[in-house]
Amino acid sequence: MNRFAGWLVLFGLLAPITGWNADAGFTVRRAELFRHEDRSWGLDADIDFDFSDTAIEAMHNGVPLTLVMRLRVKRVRPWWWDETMISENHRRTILFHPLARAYQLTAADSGVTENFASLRALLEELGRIRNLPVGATRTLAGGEYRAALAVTLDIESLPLPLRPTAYLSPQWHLNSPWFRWSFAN
Amino acid sequence: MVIRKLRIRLPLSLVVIALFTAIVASLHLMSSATQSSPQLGSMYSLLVLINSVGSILLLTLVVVNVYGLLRQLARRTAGSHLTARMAFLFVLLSLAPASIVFYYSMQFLKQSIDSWFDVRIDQAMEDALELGQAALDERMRTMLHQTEQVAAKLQLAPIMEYPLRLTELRDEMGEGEFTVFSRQGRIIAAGGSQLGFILPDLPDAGVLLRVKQGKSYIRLEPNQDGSLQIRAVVAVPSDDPLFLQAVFPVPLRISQLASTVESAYVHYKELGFLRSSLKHTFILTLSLVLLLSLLAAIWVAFVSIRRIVAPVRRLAQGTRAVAEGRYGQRLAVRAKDELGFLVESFNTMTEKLAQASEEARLSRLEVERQRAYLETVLSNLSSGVLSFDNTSRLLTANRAVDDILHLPAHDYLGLPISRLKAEHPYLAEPLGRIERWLEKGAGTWRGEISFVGPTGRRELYCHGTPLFNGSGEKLGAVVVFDDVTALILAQRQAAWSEVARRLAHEIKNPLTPIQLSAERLHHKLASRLDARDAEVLDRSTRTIVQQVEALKAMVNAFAEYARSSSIQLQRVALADIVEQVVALYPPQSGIGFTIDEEPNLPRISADPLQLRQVLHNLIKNSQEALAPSTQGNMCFVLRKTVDQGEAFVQLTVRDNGPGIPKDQVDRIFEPYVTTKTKGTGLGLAIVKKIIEEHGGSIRVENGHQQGAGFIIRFPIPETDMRAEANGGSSGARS
Repeated sequence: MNRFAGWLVLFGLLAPITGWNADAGFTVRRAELFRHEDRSWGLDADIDFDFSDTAIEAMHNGVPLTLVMRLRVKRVRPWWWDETMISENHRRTILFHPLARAYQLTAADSGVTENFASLRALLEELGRIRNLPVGATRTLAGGEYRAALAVTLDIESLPLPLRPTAYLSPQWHLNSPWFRWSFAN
Repeated sequence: MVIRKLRIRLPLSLVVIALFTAIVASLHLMSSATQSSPQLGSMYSLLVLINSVGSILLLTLVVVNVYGLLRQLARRTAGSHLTARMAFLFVLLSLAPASIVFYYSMQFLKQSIDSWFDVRIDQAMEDALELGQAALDERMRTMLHQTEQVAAKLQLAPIMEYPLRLTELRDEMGEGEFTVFSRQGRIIAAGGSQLGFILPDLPDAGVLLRVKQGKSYIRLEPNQDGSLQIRAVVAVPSDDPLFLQAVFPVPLRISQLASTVESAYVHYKELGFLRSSLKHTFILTLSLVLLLSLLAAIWVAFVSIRRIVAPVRRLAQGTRAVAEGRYGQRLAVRAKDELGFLVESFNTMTEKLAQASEEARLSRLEVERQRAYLETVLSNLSSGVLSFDNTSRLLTANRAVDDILHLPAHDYLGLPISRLKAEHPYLAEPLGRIERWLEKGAGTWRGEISFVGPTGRRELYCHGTPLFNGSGEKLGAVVVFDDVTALILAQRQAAWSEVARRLAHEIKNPLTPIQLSAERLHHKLASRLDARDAEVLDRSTRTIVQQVEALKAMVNAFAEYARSSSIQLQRVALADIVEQVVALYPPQSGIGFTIDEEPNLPRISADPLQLRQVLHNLIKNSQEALAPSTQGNMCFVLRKTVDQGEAFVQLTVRDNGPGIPKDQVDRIFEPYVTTKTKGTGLGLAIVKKIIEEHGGSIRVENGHQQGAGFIIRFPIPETDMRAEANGGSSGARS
C-alpha cells in the first residue's frame, strides 16, 4: 500500500516533466507576430491538434476539453536578463452536443462560440489562428524580441475524478513543445 | 540527526497536536474536494500532492525509527526489547482494525458507485435523446420544405425584386430570417423578424459546396445562450448560383425541454465514462487518509513508547552500573508516575547500597588495620606463636618461631605439622609433643620441652590452648612457647652464686682458726714429742694446713665466681690480647699454639683483664685435660662473622685433647661439671660468666672430630661498624 502510494506520487511528479507521448500530441507548425497599423499586435499561427483516442472518447462522453495557448514575448537585453513583455494564455474549450450532433468551440477571452458539424472542421479552424489580438496591456517598444508559443491540454479543467488518472496517463499528455522565434521591432 | 534535534527542542505534545491538526485539515479538504465541492475542486491535485509528500515524510520518520530500533535490538541496548514489543503490539492493534475498515469501505464504495448505473436508465436516457432528436428532425424537415418553397417562389422573380419578395414570403410564414447571398458571400437580399438583425452569419464554404452539388443543408445549431436554432441552406437556381439561407428559432419550450434532456444525458454519460476514475479517486483519497493517519499514529507511538521506556532504559543502565559496583549512579526523576516512583526507589536503593558498601569497606579497612596491628604485635613478641586448624595444619606462625625453632615457618603455612616434623628431624621431640596434643584435642596444655637445635640445647616452655568459635565449635588450637634456656641458665648461675657466697662465708671463716690451731699444735707439741710422734704430727699438721690451703683456694675461686662483676670496658683488639696471653706460655709448658687471624678485625669493647682471665682459663682447661706426656696443641681462629644481621668478632678455640663427652656438652659451662681430675671445676663457668657479661656468647663447637672446640663471639660496637662501613677498617688495629 505504502509502496503503491509512493510510486503514484513519484509518477505524478515525473510525468509532466518527462512529458512522454505515445503518438498523439500537439505541434505548433508556424507562429508569427505582426503589427497592425494602429500599433496593436496580432498573432498568426498554424497548429496541429492531434488528440488521443482517450481524449476524443472523453469529449464524446460529455467531458469538455480545455486547451491553453501560451504566448510569451521577451525583450532581449544584452546587459541584463530578458524582460518579459507579454505573457498571455488563450483558452479554448471544445464541447460535443449530442442532441445537435455538433462540436462547439468556445473562446474564453471573447466568449464567441462556433458550431461545427465535424471534429475535423473544428480542429482545422482551431489550428488556423489568424489575427489573434495580443499584448493589449503592453506596448512593445523598439528592440530585439524572443517569442514562444505552446499549446497544452489543461488537466486541471478536467472533471476532478479524471485528474489523477490524467496526470499519470500518457494519453492525456498532449502538450506541444515550445515553438520559439525571434523578431525585431 | 535533524529529527532528533527537533524532537528535543519542541515539546512532544505540541508537535503531535500540530501534526494531527495538519493531517486532519488536509484530509478534510481533500475529502471535501472529492465530494465535488467547487471551490476546493481546483485545489484537489495540490492537496493530493501535499498529502502524498506528508505520507512520504512520515514513512521516512517511521523507517528511521524502525531502523534505529533494529540497531538497538542488534546491540542489545537496554529497553530495546520492550520498545520493540510495544511498538509491534501498537502497530498490530492499529493496523488490524484500520485494514478491516479500509477493506469494507472499499467494497462499499465500489458497490455504491456501481449501483448508480442501471441498464434501464441507460436505455431511457438514450431513448429520451433520440426522442428529442426525432421531434426536432420532424420540425427540421418541415422547415427545409418551407425553405425550398421560398426558394422556388424566389426563382420566378427577377433578382431586383428579391428583397421585396423575400419580405413578403417571410411575412407569409411568420417566422425565420431569410438571406439570399451569392457564392462569394455577397448578400443580395435579407428579411427577418429580429430587430437589429444587421449581418446574418453565413455558413462556411463546405456547406456551400454541398448545396451547389444539389444537396440541401439543414442543421440544428445550439446558440451561445443555450437555445436552439435551425439553419437551412438551399440553392436558388439561376444563371449565377445564389443561395438562400433560412434560420428558424426553435420554440422556447421545446428548446428548454431539449436542453434539459441533453444536459441530463450528458451528465449521465460523463458519469458513466468517469465511473472507474471516480472509484480510483475515492480509493486514492481513502488510502491517503488511512496511510497518513496510520503513519502518524505509528510515529507518535514510537515517540511515546520511547518516552515511556526511557526510565526503564535508564533503570536498566543504572542496574548494570550497580552490578558492576558503581554505586554513584543517580537517575533523574522526570515523571511523577509509577515509573518515576521506581526510579526514585532505585536512587534510594543505590544510595543505601553505596552507604553499606562504604561501611563494609571501612570495616574491612578496620579489620585489616587490626589484623596488621595484631601481626605486628605477634611478630614482635619474643614468644613463638603457632596456630593450627582442626586437621593440624599450620595456620599462622610469628617471627619468633623462626628464631626459636630455626625454621622458615612461613613456608609451611597450610601444611600439616607432620610434614614440618619430617623435614626438620631435630624438632621431632617438640613438634611430636604438639602433634600428640593436637590429636588428643582436649583441654589446655602446659609443658617444658627441650631439644638440641643448631645453636645447642634449647629449653622451651609451651602453652597450648584449643580455640572455639561463638557457638562452641572447635576451630583449632594455638600454641605459645618461650625460649627459657637463658632463664634456666641464669637460675642455675644464681643458685651457684648463692652456694659460693655461703661457702665463702660459712667455710672460709673457720678455715683460718683451723689452720692457726694446727700450726700452733705443731709449734707447741713438736719439741715435746719423740721423733716418730713428731713426724706424725708434722705430717698431720702439714696435711691439715695443705688441705686448709686447698680449701681456701677453692673458696676463693668460688668467691671470685660469685663476685659481682666490675668490668672496665675499653676498646681492645682481641687478636693482640690473644698474642699477649699465648706469649706467657713457653714451649716447656707442654703446649703449642697456632693463631689464625683475619686481617683488619674490628675492635671490641671489653675489659682486657677479664679477657686475659678467659684465655688463661681456656688454656688451663686444655692443659688439664691433656693426658700426661702428650704434646698439646691449641688453635685460635679469629674471624669477623655476621649472623642474623648482627656482626661479631668470632674466636674459635680448638685443642687436640680428649674432647667433651656428648652427654656433658649441654652442661659443660656449669660449675663442677668437668671430665678432668684436676682443677676447681669452675674454669669454664667463669669463662662463660665473663663472656656473657661482655654481651658475648660461648658454645661448644659441634661436629668437631678431635678435641674440644669452643666458639666465642663478641659483638662489634655499632660505632666501629659504622666507621668500618664508611672508611673500611684501615685503622682497626691502630
